[in-house]
Amino acid sequence: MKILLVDDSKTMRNIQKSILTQLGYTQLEEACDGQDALSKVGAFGPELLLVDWNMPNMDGLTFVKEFRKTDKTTPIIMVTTESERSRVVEAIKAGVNNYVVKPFTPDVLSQRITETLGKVAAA
Amino acid sequence: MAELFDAISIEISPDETVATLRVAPGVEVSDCDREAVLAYLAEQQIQLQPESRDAIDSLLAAVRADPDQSHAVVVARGRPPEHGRMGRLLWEEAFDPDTAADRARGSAGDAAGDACHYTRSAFTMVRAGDHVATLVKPTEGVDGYTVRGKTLAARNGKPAQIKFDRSVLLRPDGAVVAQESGALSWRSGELKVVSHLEIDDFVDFSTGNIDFDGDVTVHKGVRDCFVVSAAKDLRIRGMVEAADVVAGRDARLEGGVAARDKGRVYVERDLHARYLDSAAVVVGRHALIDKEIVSTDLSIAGTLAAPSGAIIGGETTVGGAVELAELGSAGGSETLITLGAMRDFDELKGKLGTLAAAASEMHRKAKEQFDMLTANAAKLTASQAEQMTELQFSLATLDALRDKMSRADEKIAAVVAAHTDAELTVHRVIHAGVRLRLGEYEARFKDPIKGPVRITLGASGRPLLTDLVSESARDLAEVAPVHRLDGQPAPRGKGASRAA
Repeated sequence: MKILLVDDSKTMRNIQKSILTQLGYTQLEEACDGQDALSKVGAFGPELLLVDWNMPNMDGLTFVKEFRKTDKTTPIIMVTTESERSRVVEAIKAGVNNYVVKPFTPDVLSQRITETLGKVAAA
Repeated sequence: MAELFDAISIEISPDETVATLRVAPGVEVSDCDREAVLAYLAEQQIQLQPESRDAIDSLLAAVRADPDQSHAVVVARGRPPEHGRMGRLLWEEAFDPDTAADRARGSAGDAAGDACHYTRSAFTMVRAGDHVATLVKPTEGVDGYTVRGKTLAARNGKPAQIKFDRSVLLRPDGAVVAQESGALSWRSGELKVVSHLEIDDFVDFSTGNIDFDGDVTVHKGVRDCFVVSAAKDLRIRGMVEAADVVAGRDARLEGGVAARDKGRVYVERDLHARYLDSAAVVVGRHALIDKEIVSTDLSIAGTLAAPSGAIIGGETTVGGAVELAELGSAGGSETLITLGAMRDFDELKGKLGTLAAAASEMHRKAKEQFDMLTANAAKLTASQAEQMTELQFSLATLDALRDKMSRADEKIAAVVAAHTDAELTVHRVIHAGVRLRLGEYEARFKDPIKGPVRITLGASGRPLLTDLVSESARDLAEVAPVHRLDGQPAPRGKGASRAA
């Protein structure tokens, strides 16, 4: 499965990569902000996206809105901080399928991915 | 004036293939006509050829022009026989044994043209499937003839008298192909690939370094700075000087090793050596040494037997039982012997311990930071939330790493325990100056201990000394100071005597 990791923190991307690799996902692509992600989705063709909220150039919410204009189905998991939790409804309206609140443990991220992919498969 | 027949003569070359007509000075010019000369040549049985008449005409013209001079011309030619070529081996360039040394000299040279004479090899190595030479068939000869028409018989070539054994294949097209990997042997008309390389003399500048994919026997010794490496068994009948020798299986060093702290010996399985002096030696299984082991850094995974020999100086680590005539020297040479240990595994265990300590320290620091953030969990900023995720991940990773290292440490300990047997038997004497490491203890011998004795680890884990004549055993601490290697005080050994 192809997964696109969108986060301005390289450390966070590395953590996500490490967890996903342990889960058996090896086709991973990285983007450092929303703009970078938009430029990569066409060529990479992700089947799942993990998107951070706060990023320079283009934030996660704006990216989700732009992405959903052309792709309505590919699942997106938003990675948020506690302070952004109140805005989750806004994100879900924009087309996000699930969310993970930082700080998260490897187990929580793994559980959210499995949960999201399960829901998409059942739909 | 002489008549023509008195003035002309014919000269035949020794091989009878060239006839030269010579006219002496002072011949009567009016006698000089072609028919007369042709008649003379016919009388001499010279076989004329189409060009003979022109040659005669030019000779006669020259005589008429200057009759007072001598003149000569070749009037007939025969043909020497062409003997057939003998059958022979035509070597492929890379495998010509006659040029092996030159090739090696060329290939060993660097860009500036400086050759390393240690790395050149006088032996031609082949791999199975190499086309090493072509057997060229003999050719038939072509007869010749003399100026008088007599046949000069040619000899036909004979087939090359070459023996090939099963290690080389002679294909119908004459290609000679190696069937095995090894050294190409070309002696007394026999071509073969040998898996056992024999060097009749020393390994020195005449041979270069030896790196052979089979057994190697050196009938003399190995000179300073050379390398002998055998993928299988190695036998060296002479002395190994400050050189490196490597055996992929067993090694017999019949002339001993005098390495002057420069040479190294690595034996994958068993070593049998006459003596070892100032060498670094690693043995994968067992070692049998006939005489002394002097100032040598020796590591043996299996047993060491030197029932007539001694270890004097140096550092020795042995995994299995050790049998010696003497340990140390009367002069008190500092001699360290470690029993029941495998040096490679000990080093690995040491490295693992260092890594585990570093991982624990990293874990402690990460946990401290994590606990601070947890205490303030309700008021975390976005960057603190990210930092906490990172710390959680680091802690999980470090925990997994520590688990892995702990399992590896247990495995190493289990392997060492299963393959070691701490036991030292000394027939004659253990001298002062010897340090003996056994289990968690080190004993320093201040006074000589008369043999035959055996030192083992007792049931309590402490070194035990058994007198092999009386068969009585006592704590080693009763005869030599014993301390724990971890710096803890050793329990007193008095009163530990008991019957073996």
